[in-house]
Amino acid sequence: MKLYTILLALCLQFGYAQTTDSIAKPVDKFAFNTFLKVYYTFPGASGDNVLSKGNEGKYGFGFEMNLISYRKFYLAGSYEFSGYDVTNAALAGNIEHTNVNNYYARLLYQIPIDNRRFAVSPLITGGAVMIHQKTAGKSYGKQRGAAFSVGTDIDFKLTEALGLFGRARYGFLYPDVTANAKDEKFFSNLNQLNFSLGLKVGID
Amino acid sequence: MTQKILLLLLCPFLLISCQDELKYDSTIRIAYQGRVTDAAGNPIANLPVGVYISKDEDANGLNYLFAYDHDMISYTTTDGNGDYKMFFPQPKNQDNIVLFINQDIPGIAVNESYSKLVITNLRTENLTDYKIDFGVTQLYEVANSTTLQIDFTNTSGQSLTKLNTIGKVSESVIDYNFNLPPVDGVNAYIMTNYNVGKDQTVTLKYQTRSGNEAGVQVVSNHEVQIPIGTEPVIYQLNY
Repeated sequence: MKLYTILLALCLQFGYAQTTDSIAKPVDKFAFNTFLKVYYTFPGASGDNVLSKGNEGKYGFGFEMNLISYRKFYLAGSYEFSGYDVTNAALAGNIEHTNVNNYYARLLYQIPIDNRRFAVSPLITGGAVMIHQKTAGKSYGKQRGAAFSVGTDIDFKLTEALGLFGRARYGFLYPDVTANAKDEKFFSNLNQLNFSLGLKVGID
Repeated sequence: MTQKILLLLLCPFLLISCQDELKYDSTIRIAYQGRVTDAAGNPIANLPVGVYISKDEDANGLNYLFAYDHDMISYTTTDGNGDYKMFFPQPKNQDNIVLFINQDIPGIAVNESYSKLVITNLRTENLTDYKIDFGVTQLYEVANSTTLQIDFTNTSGQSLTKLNTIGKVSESVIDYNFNLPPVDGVNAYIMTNYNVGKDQTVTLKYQTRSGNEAGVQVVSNHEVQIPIGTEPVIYQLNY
């Protein structure tokens, strides 16, 4: 019940917050901006590493809450889940799924175009990654480490408080994995390439 | 209240299942690699190779097929050069790690023309830089086989704990740490009848165990050579 009340309060805040443009006019000061992005992700991978050579992206999702802005910079806290199926048992182990959980802070620079109906926003992220391999209910262990990424959002305003967005994000994942010296980077230096589509709710 | 009682009743079963479930350390990736050739040294391609890990608190780890929890944790096929390489997360509480060469692995056909090999009792202590390189494994064409029967007679009162047949043997089980005592003090399963290649010498390694006055177990390792011609052989082993 408490959770529903909080969600309702957030929705009301987004609904009542009015401004002339969905995509912000830069203001030369820090401001609190609580807009939410929820999205579906098409996970991928690239490079010579186990995520790319031994797995295939299946589905994913994410959400992020923007917290503050300064001029055209926007800072958010984010979570993104990427689900992969193991396709090469010799490389990734005979395990059904590899789940990549990204927890990160996202810094975005918004460039409004087309009279502020569109915006192109380069972004960088930094945070942590947790990789969990599972078959049905059985766990085959977790790997944790640092993660960084670069990417771009393209935002499109639907109404004052609602928009669509697409995101391309290239991630550098460094899970703490030990293997023989020749192969260690294959497991501890991963590259993720995710494309996402979603909704932006709230005024920025 | 009913739920609490049910939970209490289920607790012992939950504890048992946890005890026997295999656990892995995903932060360590082990590699097994090697090459498979025929008796003439020619590489054999497309052979199934797999790593099988088992866990069973109540049974000898070497009797891996009856384990409570088990995983074919990694598998592949040999490439055109006969090479294989597999990675898998390090098990934390296993009773046995086994390498299967040309054995049944789901989805990969066994090459029935060649012999089959199981390398058992692999241990994490055998790793060098998180890897074991098994080198060249030779299989032989089973069409050209005869039989070897081993008859056992216990003359010393000792127990026979392990037995390996090394050579051109159609279905061979090799203990990678043969000289160590058996896991949990339980004897390995002993086969008595083998199909073997003609015109060769089979090496028979066996391990016996006896107790002294202080109750200390003494393990002895032995080795004999058995010449094989073209006809079936019956070998009498006294231990």
